[in-house]
Amino acid sequence: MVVVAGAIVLSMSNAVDYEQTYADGLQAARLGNTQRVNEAVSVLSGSEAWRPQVAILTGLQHKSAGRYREALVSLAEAQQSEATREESFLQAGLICYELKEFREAISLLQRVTAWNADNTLARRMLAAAFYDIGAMDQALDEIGQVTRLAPEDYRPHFMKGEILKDYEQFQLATGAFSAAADLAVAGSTGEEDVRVGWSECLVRLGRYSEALDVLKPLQATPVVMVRRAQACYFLRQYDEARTMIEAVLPQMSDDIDAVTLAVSLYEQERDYSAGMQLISSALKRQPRNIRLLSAAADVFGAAGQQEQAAGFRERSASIAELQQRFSELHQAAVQDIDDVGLRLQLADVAEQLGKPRIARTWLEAAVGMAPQDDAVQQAWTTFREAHADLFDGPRTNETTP
Amino acid sequence: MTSPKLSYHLALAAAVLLVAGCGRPASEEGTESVQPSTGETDISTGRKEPAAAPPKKLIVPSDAASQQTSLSLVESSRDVFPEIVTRNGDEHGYATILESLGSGCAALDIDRDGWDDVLVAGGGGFDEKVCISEPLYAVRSRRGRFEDVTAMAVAADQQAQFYNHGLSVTDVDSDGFMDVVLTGYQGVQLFRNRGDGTFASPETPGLQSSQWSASAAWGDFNGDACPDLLLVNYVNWSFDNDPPCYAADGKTRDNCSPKQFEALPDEFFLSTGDGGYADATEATGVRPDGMGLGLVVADIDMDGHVDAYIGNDIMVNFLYRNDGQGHLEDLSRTSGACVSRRGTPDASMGIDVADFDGDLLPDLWAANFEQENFALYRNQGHMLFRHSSDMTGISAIGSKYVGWGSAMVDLDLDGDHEIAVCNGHVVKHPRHAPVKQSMILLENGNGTYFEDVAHLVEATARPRNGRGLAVIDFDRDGRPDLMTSPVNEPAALLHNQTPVDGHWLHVDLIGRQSPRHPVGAILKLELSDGSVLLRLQKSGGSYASSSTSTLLFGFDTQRQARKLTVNWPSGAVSEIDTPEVDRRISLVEPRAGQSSGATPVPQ
Repeated sequence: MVVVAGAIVLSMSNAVDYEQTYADGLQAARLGNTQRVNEAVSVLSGSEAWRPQVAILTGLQHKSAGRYREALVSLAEAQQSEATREESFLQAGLICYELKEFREAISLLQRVTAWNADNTLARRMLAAAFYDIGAMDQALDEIGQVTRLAPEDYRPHFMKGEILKDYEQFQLATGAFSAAADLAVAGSTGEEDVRVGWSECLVRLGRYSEALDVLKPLQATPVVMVRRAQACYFLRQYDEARTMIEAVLPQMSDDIDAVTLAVSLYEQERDYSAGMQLISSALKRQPRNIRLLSAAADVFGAAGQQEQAAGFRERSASIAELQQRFSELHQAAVQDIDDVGLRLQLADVAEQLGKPRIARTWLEAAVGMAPQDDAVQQAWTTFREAHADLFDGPRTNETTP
Repeated sequence: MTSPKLSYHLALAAAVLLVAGCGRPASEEGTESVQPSTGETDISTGRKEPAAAPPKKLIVPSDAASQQTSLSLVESSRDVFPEIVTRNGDEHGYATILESLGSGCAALDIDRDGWDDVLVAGGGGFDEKVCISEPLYAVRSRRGRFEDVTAMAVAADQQAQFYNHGLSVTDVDSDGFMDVVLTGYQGVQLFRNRGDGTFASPETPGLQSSQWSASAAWGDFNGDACPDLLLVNYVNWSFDNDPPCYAADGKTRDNCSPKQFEALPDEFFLSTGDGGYADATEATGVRPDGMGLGLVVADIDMDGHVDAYIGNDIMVNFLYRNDGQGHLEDLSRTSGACVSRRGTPDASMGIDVADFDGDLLPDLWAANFEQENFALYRNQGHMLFRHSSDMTGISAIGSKYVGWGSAMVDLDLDGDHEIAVCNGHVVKHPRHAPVKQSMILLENGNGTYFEDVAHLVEATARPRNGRGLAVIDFDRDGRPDLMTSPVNEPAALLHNQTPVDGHWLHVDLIGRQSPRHPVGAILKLELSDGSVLLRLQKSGGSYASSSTSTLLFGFDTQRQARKLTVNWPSGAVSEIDTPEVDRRISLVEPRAGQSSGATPVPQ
């Protein structure tokens, strides 16, 4: 019989169950429970044989406190022991990923999968890292491995579909989405995500009727209605498309697809005034969105307002250049894992692009790499002052629309 | 042309997964007599609403299984073409980026017998690590039967001097015989047509380049009636700047991406009017940062001055508006015709210009790299364009092709342009698509929707490592044929055997105040139902290739031709009332105060 007393697991004979203590410590570290991790470290420190496990837990403590370099040093201590080697490399790989040192992360995680081909977390993180550096094929290979390890899970197929869609490989993406749809629970939000992505690919492939068929099992949520309206628009069923989009536009006024489709429908009716008004309103909320700017240029151009149209194109070009700059810096950062200045530049460009959360992650990476660097500290302080709102409450993801 | 790239979108999506001189010949009247015109010279160059819909077809999106097409192109093994093979030297195993570009072809009537002949840029190879040339091939048409006349037409000491890619045709010296410029690695070479079926390539004052040019196009940019030359250059590769690049296995050498190199500035050569040229690159405002592959020169904004559109690799395309004085305004940021629908640069190779939707405005086409959509930019007027690939079904062809030579051409003589593209990969060991790829053949559904029917057509379904593509009506039956020059394969003639129930009218323009080959001229054929067909005299287009200079009109038999109007680059206007159809005519530019008519070329 085992009695749980605090974080420490004792057997009936009061002997410490180090193995269980270590497992609890790992669990506590994942949950961010510092106190329980400390207790586990305290217990395990009593045995020289469990020193590598202590190093793992200490490393995780450093990691949760944002002391990434110290974390890596602690984890390195655990690399010599066969019992902790895999966990050590895995955790170091995760830290490198967080630091956006993707090449290093890939190298560490690949060693994990070499030892244990069934380490699902390592596979998922490898897929993420490959995706981040634009290595689509390797990302898809890893996702294939995840699919093997979790054959009933729709998510790897969904991820594969999303990656292929992003690379405009729509034909291949439809296969992945189809597989995901077979596994997703009917009526779940997962099923909706899958079918919406699938229908988007079918629309891009010009298979509009099929897109409508794919959406048929879904409830008429606003997102689904936008996709249906898109398919109807391309099938030249303008009345149906108009009815759908008008019904959901109030709730989807920040959705790029909904807004641009509504503008296209106005253009179809030659109601340029309404189209210009709608797109101008959307641009006030999302002034740096290239698709909105392009749609604005299209409708203003169609309305004969060439100067405004050219202005929108110009703005779009400026933003595209910033994006290009970001992409180049990102590539450089992937290659050069020691350049703090690159991280600062990435943060700066992300901020110019109106992506403060992305900027924050790169600044955090810079702080993690060079916490004593004056320039880094200055940039970090300035950023915190400018974006105090970002430091209240939980973090959220920020991606391009 | 590029390897898979990390998009900004992906970069931000980090955590998603976690979870001769141009002087005038003495007279033209002796060669082509003209009929007087009764028409006025006042024509509208403004925008019109789209032409009334021809009744015959409307393509709607369909399942592949139910697809049909009347288009028929059959690969012709006519005579010598199987022996005309372009080379890139890849057998040496150097795996240089130089081998990626391939070579183009040209259709032109070398000997003025009324039958278009063919030139093919032979490409190049290597002697140790020295780039060497393959010949410029000349193929003469004898009433549609072809004969390799290379040895006779281009003497050995006049042959191509460098590893070559592109051809661009015009009459540089206004002698009535088309000349040709050859582009390539560290050279540019003008071949003057001597009028006896042979070419000479004497040194041309001022026309030198040590860059690496892919395509070239001619046009009178400054209004002096002498054709100037725009040359698009690629990257600064050399054997001294040849980093090792590898295929996906990380071990096998493969051609590098252009990202490994720096862009070479394009070049502009202004005719000096005495047979020479002056480098006017800086004065004209040509950007120094392109990685140019495709180029077309035409009067895109229809203001009477030739403009230029350049397809660049891995960066935005360039659209230049010419002020008529040879100053080029870069509209790449404002036109909408230079980026993808995401607003990001594509890697463009083949390009073209034509009015695909019948609204009497020239639209632009760009064939791009794999994992990118091919782009059709609809002209909204005032040099504003909208990306229309989604709207027109172009996106449905997917993004698996690497597109090169392109032709917007009315293959079925129904009045609208189909789009033909030849495709082929740039690397030896691609991961996402084969090296040899089928063509794309986009059938135009009344200017509103395109459907790729290449797989239903014998000659386009066959995979090739495609590069050059040119339009030629080799058998003079009115139906435009295609010829293509794939890499390390024989050039191929794609014989158009589409059953047609339409009329055709082919027009050859002969400039007098304008250049003899009047690039920039605008033709409008008004039909009995009030619709109007627009055609442009252009130079370049496609990729490294040059299509016939004859302008091709087609329309169904339910309509009659009412009036043909030509706006010449000089500002002169010609009008032909009720032109006779199903024939080829020549039209001579009127001198000031004169009108002009047309006379059939002897059949």
